[in-house]
This record gives sequence, structure tokens and C-alpha cells, in this order.
Amino acid sequence: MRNRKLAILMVIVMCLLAACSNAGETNESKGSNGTNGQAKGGDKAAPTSPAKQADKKKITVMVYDRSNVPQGEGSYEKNRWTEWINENVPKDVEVAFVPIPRGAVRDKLNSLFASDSAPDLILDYDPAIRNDLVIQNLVLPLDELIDQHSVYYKELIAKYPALVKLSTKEDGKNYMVGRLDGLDINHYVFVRQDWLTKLGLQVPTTPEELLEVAVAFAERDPDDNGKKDTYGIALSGTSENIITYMYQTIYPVLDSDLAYVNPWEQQKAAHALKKRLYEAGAVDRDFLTDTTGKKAEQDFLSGKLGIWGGNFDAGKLASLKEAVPTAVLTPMALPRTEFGQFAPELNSPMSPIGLINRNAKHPDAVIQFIDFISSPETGKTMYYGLEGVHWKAGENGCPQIIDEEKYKQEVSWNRDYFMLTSKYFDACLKQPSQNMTEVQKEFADLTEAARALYLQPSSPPPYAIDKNVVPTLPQDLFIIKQNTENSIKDIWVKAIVTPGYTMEQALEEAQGMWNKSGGDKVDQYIAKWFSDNKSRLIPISEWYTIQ
Amino acid sequence: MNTQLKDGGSALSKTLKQNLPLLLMFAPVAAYFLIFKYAPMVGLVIAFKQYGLADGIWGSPWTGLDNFNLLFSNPQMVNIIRNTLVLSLLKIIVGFPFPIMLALLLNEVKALWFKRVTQTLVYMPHFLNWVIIGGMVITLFSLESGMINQVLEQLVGYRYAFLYNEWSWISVFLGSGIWKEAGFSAIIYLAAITAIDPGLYESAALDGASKWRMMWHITLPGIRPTVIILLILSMESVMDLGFDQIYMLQNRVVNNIADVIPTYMYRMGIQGGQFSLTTAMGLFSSLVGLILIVTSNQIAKKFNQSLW
Amino acid sequence: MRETIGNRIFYVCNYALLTLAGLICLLPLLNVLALSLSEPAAVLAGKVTIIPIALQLDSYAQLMTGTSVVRSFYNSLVITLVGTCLCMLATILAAYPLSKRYFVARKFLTLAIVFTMIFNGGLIPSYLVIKSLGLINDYGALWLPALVSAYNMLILKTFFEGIPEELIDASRMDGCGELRLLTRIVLPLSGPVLATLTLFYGVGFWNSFMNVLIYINSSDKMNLTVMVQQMISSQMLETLSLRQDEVEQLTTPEGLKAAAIMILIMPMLVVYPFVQRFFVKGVMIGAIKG
Repeated sequence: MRNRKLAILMVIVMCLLAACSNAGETNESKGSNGTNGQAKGGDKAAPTSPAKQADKKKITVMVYDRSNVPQGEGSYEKNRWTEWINENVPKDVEVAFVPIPRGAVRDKLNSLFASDSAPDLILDYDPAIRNDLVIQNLVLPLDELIDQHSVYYKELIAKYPALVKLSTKEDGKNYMVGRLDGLDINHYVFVRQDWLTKLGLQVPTTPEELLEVAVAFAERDPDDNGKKDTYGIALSGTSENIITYMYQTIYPVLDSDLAYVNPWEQQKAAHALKKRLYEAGAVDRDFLTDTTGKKAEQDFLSGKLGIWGGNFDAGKLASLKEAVPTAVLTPMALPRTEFGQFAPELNSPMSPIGLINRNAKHPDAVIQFIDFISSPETGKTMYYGLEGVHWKAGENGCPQIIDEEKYKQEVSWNRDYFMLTSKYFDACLKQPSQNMTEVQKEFADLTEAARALYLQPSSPPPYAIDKNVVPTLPQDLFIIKQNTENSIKDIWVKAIVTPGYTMEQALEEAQGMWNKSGGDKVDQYIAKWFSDNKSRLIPISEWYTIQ
Repeated sequence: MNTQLKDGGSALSKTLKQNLPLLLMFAPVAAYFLIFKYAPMVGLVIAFKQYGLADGIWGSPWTGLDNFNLLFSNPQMVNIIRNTLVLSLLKIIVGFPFPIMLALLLNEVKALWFKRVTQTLVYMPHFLNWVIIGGMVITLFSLESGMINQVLEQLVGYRYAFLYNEWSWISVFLGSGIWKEAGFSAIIYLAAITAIDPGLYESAALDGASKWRMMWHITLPGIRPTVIILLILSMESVMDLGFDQIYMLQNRVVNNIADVIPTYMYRMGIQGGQFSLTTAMGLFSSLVGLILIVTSNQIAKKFNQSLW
Repeated sequence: MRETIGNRIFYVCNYALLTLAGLICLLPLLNVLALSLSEPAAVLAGKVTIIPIALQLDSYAQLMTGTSVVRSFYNSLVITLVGTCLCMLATILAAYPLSKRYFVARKFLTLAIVFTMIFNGGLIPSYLVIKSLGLINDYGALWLPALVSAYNMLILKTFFEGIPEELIDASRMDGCGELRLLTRIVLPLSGPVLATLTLFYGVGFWNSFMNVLIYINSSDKMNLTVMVQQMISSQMLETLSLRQDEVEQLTTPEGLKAAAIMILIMPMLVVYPFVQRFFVKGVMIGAIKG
């Protein structure tokens, strides 16, 4: 009798398990746990509209999942835009989107590839992930595919061959498709003009002047509140790049012959300035704990910081204005150093973004999709919405948004669906919109000033080549580089905060550590790679041709 | 299987009769462990291979101990392992008494509403993410604008760089960890305390024992088995130091003591394709955990309270 | 009963200490709450401490309409409730036999389970096992692999072992089988520890992040924790490759993050008092034996 009761219990448990696994399903009709295996290959298609012809080529395309599809618009797999895309894509192609969580792309892609269920078209901003996919032999070379099946993209790369050069690997084959954005600024470096005026100073143009101004900002109470609570310059987060870029210490550093140089002197000079700023009290002493740069940004936006650099927008400007209504910002060029005159971080005019899965069933259909999604007409509809519904033609010929709320609800969250569209060809994007608030107008003016300042070929970014064409180190060298560089950064930091510890000592210690750990092998490998692959390198001067 | 023969065949059938229902109960559990825990363990071979996604587990080439060599070739490796062990063990040892004390204090509260509210409040930090808490902790202890330092300056006229000095950083690290987890960890002790016979307290009160005495002689011994078991179990996770807390709290100045295995593996993973290395490091950590848990179980046997 | 001076001091200290502990745990929560109720400009400038500045519900409105929070919340509930039930059932089925000294292979099986706590195959092998069972994108991939937490099971086993032999022997003499022993005697006596483990499992499922991220593919099956985590960590991603307009549109405002965190934590705070009801003293007569 006991056993019977137990048997009944077992049966109940099994039923529960089966029932629960069915309860866990929502839209998809997948099988419950059992040995019927999952459908294999890139066939993750959940058809976005019923009963299309059976001979359609189904492809899967990656899209970032940012959890930002507004309520009522659907899901990442099925919404008005996936439907629009499927209605307008070439007739024999059917597209299903595979959402990949933005915060864990690498892990998710790894599991999908490991189980043969990765999307056909992979789109990602991170060059490390893209290069990794190429090295692991998971993607197709695209030269022939583009040649045979593409129309629009083929023309595009005929006009802009640099785009192909960016993603051509050592074997001479091109593995990625990309887009053209046109050269633009990315980071802003701002100085508080009202403080300069009050203290009778000029915008600094040399490291000495930068030091002087920063110290003055910290010492002479420019916000006039009787307290010494202001900082001169920030050294944490994105603001660190002010010094880094000024002294050209960002990888890779190449000389005029495009030969690789390990920038020891540059590092020493950069850290020497940091030390002087720190010891003069011009910098927040907590900058080393501000690993994300958040405190520096907060200080700047609450009006307590004089010089700051990073991404900026109208919202941040509004925040600053609210804290300090009299604040006046002006973009600042990076001071000129003995190594040259450089610009802060710019948006590269072209970037490779897409790769095709080696196991894609219909690579030709993928190419057709690429043609479709990167064409300017598609881009225009996806960016602005449907004519008459979301926008109407404005006086300057550019689309004007009819209803901001409707636009936000229905359109502005769809950016990841057309990552491949080249914004370069939409002149309307650079046009100021018709109804801007005070703050937005001021921000637009600042942007124009920054563009004029930073987009000069005479002050290029500190890296002499486009960073998409750089060597991938073999694993053992990579480990040496990562670990040793990490320890060396600690040495430099120690030198900054420890009184009496000179930069010469730090340099000696750093170089000693580098050589002892096999860093010279790393240097040799990189140098040899750059000289072997010289013809593939894309000099920064080419950036200025696509502006 | 071990059988216990006592006196001939009837003992065997008695054992079977006794055990059959238990075996039936345990059967699905055994299936679970086999399928979901032991089957994936086969994948540990990745630690000895150069795993490539295109090749899969079986197609990837064998490389023997290469992965381990690569990992340990870093001259900092000894430091990193040392830091991991030290921080973890400190966390366990220093952090252990607090949930117990909290449970003891909460147990003595008579006003039910106060008890419920406080219990809920102290268990809440467990749910806050280190990304948020880390920022708050750093702001609190920062040199220039941190509240602690502002108060300190008022009191003793002097500011202290908590986050830049090694021992104070460790204290902040431990303290913030305790703050976050003590409330949640106290729950199990509260459960254990309820199992103590209230009659013991009554008789002790009649004998005129004070609260402190009752705590020392009744409550603490009463939860002793729980304490020991939890201590042993926590040994298993010594090498499992959480990534988030260290990542959010560390800075370059204290890297000498704050660089640990999870952050090291994070750096290794930046270029990608790091499965073999991660699995190798995981295998190493597991081995250390195994040694520790077996050792602590052996020690616990002396106190008559072991896990197995 | 008259309280001695010593006891009274004890009570005062107790209440004082606990109040202090409660406050230092409350303050960060107040901060997050305040951030979720303040205007964006103040939030960006880092001015908000524990009181909202310019009280507004915009962040919550944005959360409700601009994200998938409703669906995610519902998904989290399903995952948590079903998962907790399944896990408790399985854990009881595992701990009970192992707590009986006459269970054959008891030591071996316990060791085997402890072994699984220590050694882990890793992400890829686990994924492949789940895939071969056809559980990808099914919530079963979240419930089944976590069916028995060795840690929780060992705690339960220890508690079961502590139940006085006299009780069990008495019931056995009345003709109780194992199942009846389990359901009529052992479980009712284990109220507090069962409540604790239910809470542990519940919290674990509510907070599951990596598992959901990897095993669930459909965006409408994602749970709340994944959604909130993504918002929190989105700030840390490199913004170098984003176009300027994209940075603006795609970075989560701080107030929205705070509102999402509040929604994530709230259920846990609400549920706990109900669990606390199970912590009833004196359920077991007699002291725990070692």
C-alpha cells in the first residue's frame, strides 16, 4: 500500500512537470521537455505574417534587445517595423529578427554559435567581438557574395573602397559589411568660459597654460561663493582622454612612416602633467575611485568643475543651466604638446558592422536584405517614420516631425533595425530642427563650434590609422600584454599620488617590468605586423575625405 | 551500494523494504543530478583543449596543460590567487558572526511590528545591485566629498583616504559586504532559533538567568549545528568571490590587494575566445574549494557535526 | 514578571542597535526611491540624496509605457512561482531520504551531491545539455537545471536529521509509512526552515539573470531582472561607436533606472513579512540533537 501511494506521488510529480513546462510557453509552440530536439540551423523564424509562399528564403537577423519597445508596440520579433521591413524587402526574402540582449552580447552569441542557432546576419559595434568571430572561422568571406548578389552595396563600396579595406583580413578577404556616417565629433571638451572671463584668463593652448588655468579654477573661487569647492579639471572617466589624447598615448602610436612605436616618452609626459595637476590641487583627489567618470560628470553638471570632456547632449546642458544659469561653455581644442596637435575622440566616418554566419542557409538572401536595409530610402522611412503619418515636408526640404509623442511612441526606438544605413547620405540630419528650445539651440551652436575646432586635418586624432585594421595577438602574447599593461598602469598611478616619486623612476620601473614579462616580444610582433601589413593600413587623412 | 548485513537474508529483505520508498523518492532527484549536473561536467575537458566554437567540444584539439601554463605564467598570478583567498576567507571569518548576532537581537524583540519592519529592512540590501551600491559606498568614503570624511573632519580635524589605503579598503570591502548580506543570511539562523524549545528559556528565567546568560547557554548552543554546517558550506565558495563587488569597489591604488581571479578572468576575456582559459581557471578554483570543504568537514567531525 | 535592570539595559541596547541597523539599510533605499521621483536635471547633477527634488511621477510613467516592464514583471512572477514550487518539492524528496541513517548509500549520495556543488562544467556544456532536451527558449530551461540546490538541500537534510527520534519512532509504531511520516510529522515540524528555503528559491528565481539571458530567446519571455540589469549596465558600455543622436536616444536616464530598480525590489519587500509568519517558536518539543 505504501508503494502504491508513492507511485501515485510519482505520477503526480510527472504531470506537474509536464503541465508546468507547457504553462511556461507563451506564443511559440515549442515541444515540452523530451527528446524531440530543437530545430537546427539558423531557422529561428517566427513568421511575422501568416501564410506567405512556401518558397520564400527565410533569414534571421540580429537586433539588440534594449528592453525599450514601448508598451503596445509589440516585441522585438514582431512590431510595426518588422512588418514594414517584411512587406518591403525583396519579394522572395523573409526576415525574422533575433533579439540579443545589449548587455551580454558576447555570452549570448557564444551560446548560440555553440549550439548552431546563431542568426544569419550578425550586427555589432564592438570590433573585438567581430574580430573574434572572424578568427574563430564562424563567418563567411563576402567578396564573391557581394559581387554576385548585391546591387546597392556593391556600388557603395565601388565608390568608397576604404570601407572594404577596413574589414579585409590578412588572408585578403573581406568579412564585413559596413556603413558610412561621415566624419563627425564624438567627444566634446569644454571649458567654463564664464570662469575664464571672471579670472581674466584665456582658453589654454599649451600644457603650461592648462596647468595655470586649472589651478586658477581650483584656487581662485571662480563661482564666487566664498568657498574653495571647485575643481580645475577632471582626470577620471572620459575626461582622462583630454590628457591621453593630448600626449598621443592611445594605441596604436605610429610614426610618420607608419611604423609602430611603444609610446614610453608620451606616457611619461602625460603622467608628469597629471602629477603636476594633482599636486597643485587642481584635481579631485578622489578621481582614482571614480572609475566610470560619473562623479566628474556630476561635478561638471552641478557647476563645480572647470574643464571636462566626454559625450554631451542637450539634456546635460539643461542640467548645467539649471544648476548655474550664468554658465557659459566653450569647446576647447586639446593643448599642443611636443608630440603634436590632436583632436579628441571623433566618430569614424565609416565602420564595419555586419557579418554573415558561415551556416547561413541563404547567404544570397542575406545580401539582398543588406542592400535593402542600407539603402537611403529605407533609412529615411525608418528614421523619420511614414510620410503624412509621422512627418511632413518642411521648408528646407527636410522632414518635420508632426507629433513628438507619437514619434517617440512609434518610431524613435527602432534605431537598431537599420544599423547598416549610411547616415552620410542624409543631409537633413545635420540640419537644425525647426522648433528647438533655448537649450537645444545653444547646444547646436556649441556643436557647430566644436565641429569647426575638431574636424581640422591639421589636428588629427592621435592614432595615425583607422583602428579597425590592427593586429590580433596570439593568445600568449595577448595575455602578457593585458597583464603587464595593467600592472604598468598601477605604477603610473602610484607615481601620481606618491609625493617624491618621480616620473623617471616610474618610467624605469615600468619599462623594466615590461621587458621582464616578455613585453619586447609583444612589441616585436606588433611592429612586424604593422610593417608587413602596411599596404592595408588606412591613414587617418582618409577620414577627412568623407565629412 | 553498501549493504548492511546483520543476520542473514531476512536483514537484507528488511533493508530493502525500509529503503524502497526512500529510493523511489530519491529516484527523480538522482535523475536530475545525473542529467543536469554530471552530464555537463564532461565539458570540463575544455580545460585541456583549445576550444573553438566552430569545432565544438569534441573537435577541438587537445593541448594538455597549456591553458594552465598560460594562466599561471602571469607573474602577478601568485598575488591574484593570494588576494582571492585572503579576501574570501576574511569575508567568511569576519562576516560570520554578524548574521548570528542580528538573529539573536531580532529574536529578543517583543514588539512584533518592530521585528517585522526591522527584519524586512535589514534583508533588503541583498537585492540592491553592486552597480548601485558600489557607487554609493565610494561616494560615502571618498576623500573630498564623502560624508564620513566630512564628519571625521569635524570631529578630529583630519581626513583619511579610506579607499586608497590597503587595510582601510579591505575594511570598507568587508563592511559593505556584511551590510549587504547580514540581514539575508540571518534568516536561516532565525529559523534555527525557532526550533529551540521555549521551555528551556522559561526554566532558565525561573532560575534567574539574565538575557545574556540565556543567549550564551541556550540559544547559541541551540543553533550550533546550523552554524557549523553553514560554515562548512561557505568553504565551497571561497574561490567564488563575486565579480561585481570587487569590480565596483576597486581602484588602481589598491590593485595590489584588490586584483582577484574574477577581475583577472574579465581582463582575459576581452579579446574573446576564452572558454578554455575560463574552464581551466574554474577547474583550478574547484579543486581549491574541494580541498577546503573536505578539510573543514574533517575538522567539524571533531565537534560531532559534519556534513557527511 | 519583573524585569531586572540588566535585562532592561539589554532591551534598550537591542532596540537601539536594531534601529541603527534598520536605518543604515533604509537610507540607500530612500535614495533610489528619491531618484525615481525627482526631475532629470537634478538627478544628472547628482543633487538628490534621500528626498526627491521636484517630485514627479514621470520616471514611472516612462517605465510603464516606454518599456516592457509589465510583461517582464508577469514573466518574473511565473518563473518564480512555478520554479519555487518545483524546487521545494524536489528538495524535500532529496533531503528526506538522505536524512535517514538507514538509507543505503547515504554517505555516497551526499558526497556525490556535494561534489556537484564544487565542480561545474561551465556555460557551453550546460547549454548543450539543455539544448539536447529541447528546452531552449522554454521556461523549463530555468526550472529544471535548478531543481535541487545542493546548498539548500543540505540545510534541509540537517534540519530533518535534527528531528527527535522519539517522535519518529512513536509514529512508526502506529504503522506510519515513509510518505505519511514525511507529510504528517516531519514537514509540519519544519515550518521555519521550509519557509526559509522557499524564500531562498523564490529570491533566486526572481533574481535570475544569466540563465534567462542565455536560455531564453524571445524578447517577450524575458524577466524583470534582465530588463533592469540591462538598464543599469548600459551606461558602462563603450559609447565610442555610437552616433551622437543614438547616444541620446539609447542611454537610459537615471530616474528611469531608479524606478525600474524600485519595481524590481518591491515584491521582495512585500513578500517577506508573510514568510516571517512561519517563524513560530516551539514547534518542536525537545532540544535538537547533533
